[in-house]
Amino acid sequence: MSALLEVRELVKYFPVKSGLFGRTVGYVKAVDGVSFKVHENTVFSLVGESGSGKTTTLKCILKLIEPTSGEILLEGRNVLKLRRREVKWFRRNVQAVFQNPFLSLNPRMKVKDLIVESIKTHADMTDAEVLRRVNDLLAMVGLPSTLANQYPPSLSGGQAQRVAIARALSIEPKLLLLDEPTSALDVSVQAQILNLLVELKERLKLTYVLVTHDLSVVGYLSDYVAVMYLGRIMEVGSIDEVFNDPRHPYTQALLSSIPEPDPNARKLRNKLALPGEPPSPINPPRGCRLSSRCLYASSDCVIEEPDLIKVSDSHYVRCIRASENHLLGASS
Amino acid sequence: MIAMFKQYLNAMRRNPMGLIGLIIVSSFVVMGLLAPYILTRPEDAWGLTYDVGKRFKPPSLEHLFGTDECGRDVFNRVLLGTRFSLMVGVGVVALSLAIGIPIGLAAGYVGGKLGTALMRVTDMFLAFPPLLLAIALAATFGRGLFNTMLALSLSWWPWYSRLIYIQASSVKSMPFVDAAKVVGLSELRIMFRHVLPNVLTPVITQATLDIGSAILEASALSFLGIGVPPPIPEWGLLVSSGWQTVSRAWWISFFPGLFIVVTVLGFNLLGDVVKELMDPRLRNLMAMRRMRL
Amino acid sequence: MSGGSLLKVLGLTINYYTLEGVVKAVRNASLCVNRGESICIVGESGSGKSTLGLAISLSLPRNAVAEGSIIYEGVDLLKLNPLERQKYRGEISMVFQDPATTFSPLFTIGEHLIDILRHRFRVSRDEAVVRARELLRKVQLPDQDRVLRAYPHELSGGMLQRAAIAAALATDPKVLVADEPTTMLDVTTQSQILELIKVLKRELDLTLLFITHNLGIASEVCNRTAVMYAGVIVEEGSTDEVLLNPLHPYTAKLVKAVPSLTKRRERLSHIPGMLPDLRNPPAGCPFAERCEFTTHYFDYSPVKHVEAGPGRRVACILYSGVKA
Repeated sequence: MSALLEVRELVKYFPVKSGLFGRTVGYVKAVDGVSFKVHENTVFSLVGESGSGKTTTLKCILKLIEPTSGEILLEGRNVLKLRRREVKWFRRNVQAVFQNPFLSLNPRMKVKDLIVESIKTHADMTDAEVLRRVNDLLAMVGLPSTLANQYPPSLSGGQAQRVAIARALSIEPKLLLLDEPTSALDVSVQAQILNLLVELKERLKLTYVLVTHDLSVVGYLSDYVAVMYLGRIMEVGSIDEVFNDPRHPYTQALLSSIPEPDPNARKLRNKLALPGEPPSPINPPRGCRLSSRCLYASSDCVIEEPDLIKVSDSHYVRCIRASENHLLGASS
Repeated sequence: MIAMFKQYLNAMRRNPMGLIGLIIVSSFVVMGLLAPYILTRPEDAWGLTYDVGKRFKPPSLEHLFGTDECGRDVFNRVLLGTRFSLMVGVGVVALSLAIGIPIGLAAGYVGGKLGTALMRVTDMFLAFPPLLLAIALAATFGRGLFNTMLALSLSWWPWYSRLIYIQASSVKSMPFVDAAKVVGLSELRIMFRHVLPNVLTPVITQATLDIGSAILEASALSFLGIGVPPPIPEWGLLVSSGWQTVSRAWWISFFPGLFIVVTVLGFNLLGDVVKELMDPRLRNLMAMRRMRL
Repeated sequence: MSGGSLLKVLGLTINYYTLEGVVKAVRNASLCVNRGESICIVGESGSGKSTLGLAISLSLPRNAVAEGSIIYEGVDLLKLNPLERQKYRGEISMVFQDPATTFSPLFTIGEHLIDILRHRFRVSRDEAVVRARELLRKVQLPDQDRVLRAYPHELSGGMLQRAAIAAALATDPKVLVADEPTTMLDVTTQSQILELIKVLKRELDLTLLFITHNLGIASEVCNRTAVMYAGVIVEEGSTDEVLLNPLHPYTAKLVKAVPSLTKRRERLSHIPGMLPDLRNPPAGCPFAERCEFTTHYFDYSPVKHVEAGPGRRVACILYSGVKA
């Protein structure tokens, strides 16, 4: 299997300016050396809380912001050093669906025009062909073609998110980036969208990169997951390994923080609270970034930041106690 | 569009003052458009006549608004003046929008050094009291209908460009702009197709309110003798021409003055409705107030 | 523990008068809250759960009109004049989703708390400061003096929500209405706040009315749950019962629509269709047009609550044959 997308040592620092003349007094280390590979027709999730750098990573991949350093490769080509024509190739292959469809769809354009616009940017088609394609796309995401003449604000949340998906798929991308695609939606609607995403992935042989804070959505969609904290990947691996045998105390805390609806499962679970709140990404703790909140931190943890340690071929953990941590097992 | 119109009618029904505004404005527009065809004394209106015998006649059936110092029918002159005053009002606002919108949009959307440079220029204009700047410019350009409009527009556009700038710099970071970039649209297309329609609302509201003020300021320039040249029957000029003799022939200044007041009032009332229409939050608030809740 | 009903909602109907028409947010809701219990109101957006919470805490906006009765310790809160209401406002406190709305950005946390305390208990300033510090300690905020001097924007989301809870507790309430208090927070912070609310409930002997869209939270926080849909309470019972053995078809679908960590990749059931227009809700069951069990005759029958076991009520015609 070749990697469709590869991110190498991605770093993004935002300068913190202060004073009258905007002197740079420090840097928010939003993303601080993130590497991962995404294989074709798999779902890779970046999960973390606010300030973890997951959204910044996504924006770098989408070329919406320029990273400070690092490489992003799509099919082996460095995305950050593309010429004009290649940018078009890149856009054609990488599309995105954002969190809130009412904010990501221009409220003053009809559904039809939004999709037509994106088709016409990338393909030479007659108007009749374009219109037929719009109808096909709407049908594919389960919307009636009568919706084409409506404006996004008159749609329901689920319908609007389907429109956003239809637009993203209108130019037949290989890679779809999903930025919290269901967190603005109600539970029953979320289920509709998740099922649709699974179905489309199989049908169109898509590859997803999912960015979310919701681990249950990750569990439902993903094949691989990377857990981020303060700009770093703390644990990465196949979903079964990471969720069934989380080795990093942070992953364990995250998994045990999710409220469990099933009363039987709830009673079996032991809670593992993480005290305090994330420290500022301007000045992350020395050594392991979790050391300031970790219940198992020892003096060794603050000396040096650990590398990702191999647990198995498809499971890596950034914790010096990775081999013992599984004893703390957070979820069943 | 039909929905928009229905909404407008609905807003009117709830806000009778708005309806009055609409009636005033539309009747003045009709009056302005038809003026050349309904004038009873076109020569008087255009200021081509001089009749010593008819000077300073008070309002009567024959001369509804009386006659002026040259014996011309004031009613006809005011009627034709509608056309010029509305033209100036709409023209000034349109010209200002034409300058202000592109500058504000570019400054707000592109940002960076270009944005800063453009906004500094805007600030320079804003540093002058607007009427004073307009007076200085009008005096430099010389009298004339177009010169007056230009002078007023040049003192006026910075407000629009500021308004658009503020809107555009916030709309720029909306997810739909990111989404448009991801789709691969060109920056120009994003700017005009995605950003512009979403920043126009407050400017359109402001512009409606401003047409009245533009008429007022144009009248001020004419009154000062640096605006529209005689014998064009612009309202401000008409007020000014009767000013010397106001003690014995009040009607010469009074009627054009009245027309100015009513028109400005009409645009202000209309502007309030537009504002209410454009701002859903305000709309609900007004609805609640009317339901006495 | 002290039992018996503390708060009784009877036939409560709440309409919002908006420009787009009269929105029937809550229809004929009845709910009995016992002293010292924690009850969850679960529903999706548009279910009327927040409106119900606002009504109980006497904070409905001005364009809402409530009919029916909310009986608190034998007094009908809806029939009180504004002066009498003031007294009960302190007894029933509310915590909102966004803690930033609780505090004015112009004043420090201390000023807010001290204001509330002085107004409520007529104590001296020094006394109020002491009590404010005590409140912040109760909500487990470290470094209370610093928090007292802080402006809302200087605190993180989690700390601010703790401060908002302190403000809600400042009036020494008997009932705490919490409207999605953790929705804006990160999961690890959320779990801290939920733990805090549980601890406070126990320590202060509060009666908790918890409003949420998250079935997981309902399961972790409350012993009883009422499920709302389109303004109607469709089902009520002990939380475990409702989640394990949902009676109403809507609840059943909802429970299966939540992705679970323990049952990953099991296909989610989703509910086809949309919420009915609340300006003109169907006369019968609000869920009828999305329900797989709908019969033709179903559509026209008015909603009736059926006792379906001890402490269990359901508003569905499927159970009309069941005897309590």
